[in-house]
Amino acid sequence: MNQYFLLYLLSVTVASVSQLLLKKSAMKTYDSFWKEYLNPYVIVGYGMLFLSMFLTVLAFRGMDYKNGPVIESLGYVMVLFLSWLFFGEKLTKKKIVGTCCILLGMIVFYL
Amino acid sequence: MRFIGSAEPVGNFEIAEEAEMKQKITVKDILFLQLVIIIYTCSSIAAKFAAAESLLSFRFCLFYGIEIMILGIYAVLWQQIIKRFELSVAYANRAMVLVWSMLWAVIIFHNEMTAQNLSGVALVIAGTVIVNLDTREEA
Repeated sequence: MNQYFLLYLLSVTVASVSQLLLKKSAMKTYDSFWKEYLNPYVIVGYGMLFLSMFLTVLAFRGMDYKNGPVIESLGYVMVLFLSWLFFGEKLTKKKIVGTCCILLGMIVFYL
Repeated sequence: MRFIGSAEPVGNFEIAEEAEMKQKITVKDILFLQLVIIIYTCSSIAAKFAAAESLLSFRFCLFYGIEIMILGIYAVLWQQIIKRFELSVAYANRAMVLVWSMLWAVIIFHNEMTAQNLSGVALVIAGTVIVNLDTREEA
């Protein structure tokens, strides 16, 4: 396992955590439309997405393009797990089977 | 309905402090989610058009500007999506980016698809449908 792969994995992790922050903001009720967007969760969340994009570029210096989307789809597994952990979203059989099916599709498509 | 100021510290993840309201997800919601994902894939079409122009030419800046604009619209809409959907379901739907991008690749850029590509696309569609069926059961 090389360091570029780990860098890409870090990028996917940062992107997944940023989705948690966005969701955290979306779960609240705001008294104006603008506050739905101009709040610390959303601002830090999108800041993290930019960081993730930067990490992706660094990772691609030592990785084939075709491997990118496959590693990126590990993000679906991370978000599935993290939203169960932090928001109590149920880990249902359908979500798990569906996500595995998506992962398999990505592998078939790109490898 | 309660109003919460924006002064709360970032990163304070009380576990399910506000338990997810189980709202009915309709077919219309899923179509809206897919529309937002289609809008997202349009940003890469603009990027591809920008890539064909010489750096910082007028047409390059135009397409690059369009790409940024599309990403901005997507960001605004995505926030509305995750208000309605469970994060795990909404995020899994992003896998459909592969399917829509392939469609553009064939229609707009005349790229060739192999049988292996098509099998991958079929599996991704099947997986997304299975995840989305989950919301139907709860409803």
